[in-house]
Amino acid sequence: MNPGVEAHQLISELIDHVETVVVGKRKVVKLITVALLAGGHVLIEDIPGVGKTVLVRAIAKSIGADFKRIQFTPDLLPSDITGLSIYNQKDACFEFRPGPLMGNIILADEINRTSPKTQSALLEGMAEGHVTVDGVTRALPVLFFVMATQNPVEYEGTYALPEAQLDRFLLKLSIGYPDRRDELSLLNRVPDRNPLNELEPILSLADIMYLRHQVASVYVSDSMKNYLMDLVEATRTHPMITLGVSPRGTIALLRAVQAYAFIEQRDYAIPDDVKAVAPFVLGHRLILKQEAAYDDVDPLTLIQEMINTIKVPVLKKEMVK
Amino acid sequence: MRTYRWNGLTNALVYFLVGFILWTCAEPVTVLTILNSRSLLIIFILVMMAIFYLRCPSWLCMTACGLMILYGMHYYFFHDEPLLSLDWLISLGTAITSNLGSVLQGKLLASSDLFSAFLFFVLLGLIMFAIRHWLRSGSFVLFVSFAVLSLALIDTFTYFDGNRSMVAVIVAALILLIVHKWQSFSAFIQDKNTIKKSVSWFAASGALIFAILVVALSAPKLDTQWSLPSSYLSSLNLDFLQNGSFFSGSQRIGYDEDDTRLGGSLGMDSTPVFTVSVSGKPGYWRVVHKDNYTGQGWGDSNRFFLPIADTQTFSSTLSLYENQTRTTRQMAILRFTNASPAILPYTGQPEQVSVPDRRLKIEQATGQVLTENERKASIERLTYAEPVFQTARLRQATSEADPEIVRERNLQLPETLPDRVRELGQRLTAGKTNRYDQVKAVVDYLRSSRFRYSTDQIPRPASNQDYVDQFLFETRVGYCDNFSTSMVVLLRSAGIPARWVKGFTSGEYQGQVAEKVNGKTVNLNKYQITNANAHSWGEVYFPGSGWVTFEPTPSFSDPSQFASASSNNDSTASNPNQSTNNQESKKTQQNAPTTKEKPVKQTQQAKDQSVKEKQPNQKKMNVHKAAGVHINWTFIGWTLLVVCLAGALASIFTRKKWLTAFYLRRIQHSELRSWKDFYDVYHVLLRILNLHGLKRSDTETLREFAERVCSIISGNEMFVLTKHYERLIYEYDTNLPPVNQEHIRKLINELTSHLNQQNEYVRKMNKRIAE
Repeated sequence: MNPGVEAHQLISELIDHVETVVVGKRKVVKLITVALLAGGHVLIEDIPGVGKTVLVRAIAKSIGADFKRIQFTPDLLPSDITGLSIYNQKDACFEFRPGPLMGNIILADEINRTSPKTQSALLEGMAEGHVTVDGVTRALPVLFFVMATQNPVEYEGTYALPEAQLDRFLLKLSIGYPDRRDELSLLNRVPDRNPLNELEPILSLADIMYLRHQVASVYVSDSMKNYLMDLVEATRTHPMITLGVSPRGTIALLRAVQAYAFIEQRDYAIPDDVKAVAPFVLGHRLILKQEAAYDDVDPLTLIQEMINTIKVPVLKKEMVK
Repeated sequence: MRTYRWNGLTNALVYFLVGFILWTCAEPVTVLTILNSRSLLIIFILVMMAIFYLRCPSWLCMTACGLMILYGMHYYFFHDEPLLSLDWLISLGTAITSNLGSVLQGKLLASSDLFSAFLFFVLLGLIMFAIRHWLRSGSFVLFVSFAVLSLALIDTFTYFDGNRSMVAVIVAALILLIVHKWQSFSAFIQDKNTIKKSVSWFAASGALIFAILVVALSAPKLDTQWSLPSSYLSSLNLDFLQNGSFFSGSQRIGYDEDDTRLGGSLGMDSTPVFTVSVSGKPGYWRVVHKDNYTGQGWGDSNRFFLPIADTQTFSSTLSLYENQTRTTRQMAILRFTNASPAILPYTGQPEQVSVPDRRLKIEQATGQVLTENERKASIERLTYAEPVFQTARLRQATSEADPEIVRERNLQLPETLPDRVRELGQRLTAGKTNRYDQVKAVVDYLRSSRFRYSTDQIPRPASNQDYVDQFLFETRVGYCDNFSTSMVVLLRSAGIPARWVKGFTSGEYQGQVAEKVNGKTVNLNKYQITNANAHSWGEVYFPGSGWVTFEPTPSFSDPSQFASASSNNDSTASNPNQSTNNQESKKTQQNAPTTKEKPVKQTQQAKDQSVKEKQPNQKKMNVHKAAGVHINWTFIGWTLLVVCLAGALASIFTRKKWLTAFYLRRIQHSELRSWKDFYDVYHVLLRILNLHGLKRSDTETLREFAERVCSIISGNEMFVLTKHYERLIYEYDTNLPPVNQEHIRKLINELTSHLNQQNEYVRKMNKRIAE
C-alpha cells in the first residue's frame, strides 16, 4: 500500500472523528490539523460558549498522547505550569515535579486571563521547545502541541497577549456561531450522553511524527514560493499596515501551506492552499495603523483584499516557449 | 388577463413602430424614384405589418406580399387596364422574363423601369420578411441600425433631406427598444408591483428620450464635412451607381432615352460625353426630337429604323430645312469617350454621317441616328448644312401652307391637358399677325422673370397632374425640360406646329486643333461636351423654311442664326462666328464671341441639363472593343475593400462560432502524447471558455475558475481537467505520471458537448424571453 495514501487516510479519519463531537466546523478542524501537522501551535479566539474547549479536547482525545489541560486564572504562577522542585526528605535532595506543560498536547484554556508572567512561561516553551525551572533547562517532549483559547480582549479581566508573543502561534482561529441546522442537531442530542467521553484515540504519537515527516516533503514549486513571497511583500508595503509579516511568518506560511496541501490529499501545494490558510497564518502577525482601527478594518479582510489583487501563477516556465 | 391585454397592446405598438420606421426609411423612394405614390407604400407596409401582427401562417404572408407587389405593378405601369384582366399580367410576365433574360446574360444595367420597380417591390417584401424574423427573435438593435444606416446613406448620396426622417427613426427606435425591454422584463414580474414598476420604467425612459432629444437638437453641429459625395462618387467612375431613369428625382445630368415622365430635381455631373472639332459655329447637338406629348412627358413612338449607307445623304430621310433657308456647308468630327451613350449627335442638316466600321440607321420619326445593334461609336464624321434663317421669310409663313403630316403630328395635345394651358397659349399669341411673332411672344413669355431657372428641388408632378400645367401655374421653377415642353405645348395650343428636341448644347470651347480631313490639314474649333451640357429645346415649323430652333429656357442663348434681310445672308453665312443678332433675340445672351476665332466659353450653359443619361449598358459590357480591355481598377479596389470590411465585421460578430470551431479542431488534432501537449490543449480550452464568456481573472486560482465553470455548465469535466493541469504545473516534474490520453480526450469531448448544450439552452431562453 502506498504510504502516502495511507497517511491521507489517517488524516481524513481524524477530521471525521472530531466532527462527530463538534458539528459543522470542519474547516476549523482542518486548520487545527494543519497546525498539528506543521508543528505549530493554535490560538483560538472567540466569545465564550461556542465550543472552543470542546473542540480542542476532541482533537486531543483523538490522539493517543499525553494530554494536559491548564485552566489559566489571574493567580496562576509560572511554576504552576512548568513544574517545580520539591525537597525530598527521604533522599535529602530537590526533586523536580513536572508541571502540566510537560505533556504532548496542551490545552491552554483562556490564556489571556492569566498574568503576563505566566503567559511568557508558556510562550517560552512554545518557542524554544524547553523550559527553565530553578535554573535548570528542561526539554519538552518531541510532540509538543499547544492549543490555546482566549476570549476577545474587550472582555473584562483579561491581559492581552503582546504582539511578539502572538507570533509564536502558527494559526489564530475563531470558531463562530454554528449554522442554524447544526445548532438544531446540537439541541437534539441526548442530554445525558457526552460524545466527548466516547472518543477513542485513533492517532498514535508515532503516527503524528510520521505525518509531520510527510508534510515536510510536500513539494512547493518555485512559482508557488514566489506567490507566497508576493503575498508577504504585499503585507509589508500595504499603507494600512505598520508592521508586516516577518520572515518567521513567511516560513510559517510555507509550513501551513504544505500541511494544508497534505490534508487535501496532495503532495504538492497549489495557490488554493495559500488562499485557504493565509488569513489565519498572517492575520495575527500584522500590526495595523491607527487609521485602520478608526476605519474598523480587521486584518483578515486586509489579507483577503491582498489575496484578491495578487496574480495567481498558472503557467509553467518550461512549457512556455 | 390584464397582463395579456397589455401584452397585446404593446405588441401592436411594437409592430406599429417597426412599420413606422420601415416607412420612414422607404419614404425617400417616393421622392427619388418614379414610384411616387406614398399611399401605396403606406398601404403595403400597413397590410404586411397587420398580417405579421396577427401571426398569420407563412403561406398567407407570402401570398399577401405577392398580391401587394402585383397591385403595385398594376398601379404604376398598367393603370389603364382593368385590375382583374389577364392582359396586363401577361405583359408584366413577358417584361419580367425578358429583363430577367438580359440580367442572366450579364446585362445587369439594361433593365427597364418596370423591372427596377418590380425588383424594388420584391426587395421590400424580402425586407418585410426579415423584419418578421427580427420581430419574433426580438433583435431590434440590428433592425434599427440598418434603418439608421440606410437613411444616412440616402441622405448622403441623394438630394433627399433625411434630417427629419432620421430624428423620427431615432425616436421611434428608442420607444421601440423601451417597449420591447418592458415586455421582456414584465414577463418575469408577476407580482402586484408590475404596474408600479412599469410606470416608473416608462416615466424614466420617456424622460431619457426627452433629454436625448433636447441635447441632440440643441447641441452644436459640425458643418458638412464631405460636401459633394455624389461628385466624388462619379469621379470614381462607378457608373452603375448613377444609372437609371428609374431614379426620377436627382438623376445626374446626362442623356436618357426615356422622357415619358418628366419632372423632379437634377444633380450636376460633368463627366465628358464627347468632344467635337467643328469648322463652323457649333449649334446645339441634337439627338432626337419627339412629337407625342402625353401630359407627363414625351412618349416614344414606334421605333422604326432605316438603314443608311455611309455615302448616302440624309436629305431623303431627314429634312430639317427647306429652300428659303440659306445654308453653308460645314464639317465636324465627334470623338466619344468610354462614358458616352450609344448615340450619334449631329447639328444642322446632316448631309453625310460616317462612322468607321459601323453601319448606321436612322429612326425616321425622331431623327435619332444610331449605329447598328446600338453599339457605341468611337468617332463620328459629319458633314452638315448650317442654316441661316430669313426673318422676313419666317414672317411670311402661313398655317395654310403646313403639310398634312406636320399638322397631324405636331399639333397633337393630350385630352387631359387643362384648359387654362390652352387658353394661355391662345392668349399669348392673340394679336400677333404672323407665326414668327407668335412664337417669339411665347418664347419671351417663358424667358420672362415670371419663371425661375433651377435644377434643384423641383417637385415632381402628381400622378394625375399635367407636367406643363404644374410648371406654368404652380411651381414656376424649373429647367430646360419644363421650359421647352411648355413652349411646345403652348404653341400647339395656339395652332402652331412645334416639336420637342433634346440633345446637348455646344459645350465648352477648348481652343483650336489641327485635324486631317481627307488628307488635308485644317484648323477646327474644339469643344468638349459633358453630361452637364445635356439640354432640350423647341422647334417650330415654318413652311418654306423648315424647322427653326427656339430657345425658351432663360440664361441659354438661342443657337439659331437669323438674318433680318436677305441681302446680308452671304456675309453671315461666310463668317459663322459672327452671327447676326436680331432684335428679337436680344434677350438671349450673346453666345457669339467678340473675337472671330475664339468663341466665348459657354459657362452659363453648363448649368443645365434635361436629358438624363441612361447608360447603354450593353456597351459597357463590351470591354473587348477596339480600344482594348478596360478594367476599372478603382472600382475593383473599392469593391475589394468593402468586401474585406464586411468580411472583417462578419467574422468579428461570428467569432464565437468559428473561433470555437477552430480551437476545437486544434484540440482534436493534438496528439496528447506528452504533458506539453496537454498544457497547450488546456490553454486552448481556456480560450474557448473565454469566448463563451467564461474568463478566468488573474487573481482567480484555476480551481476556483473550474468550479465557476462547472457551476454554469453542467458536469465536472473542467474540474477534473484542472486537477490534471494543476498537478502538471505545481507538482514536482519527476512525480508526474504519464498522460492518460483517452481519459483526457473523453473529458474534453464531454466538456465541449456540455458547453454546446449550455449555449443551446441560453439561446432557447433568450428566444422565450423575446417571445
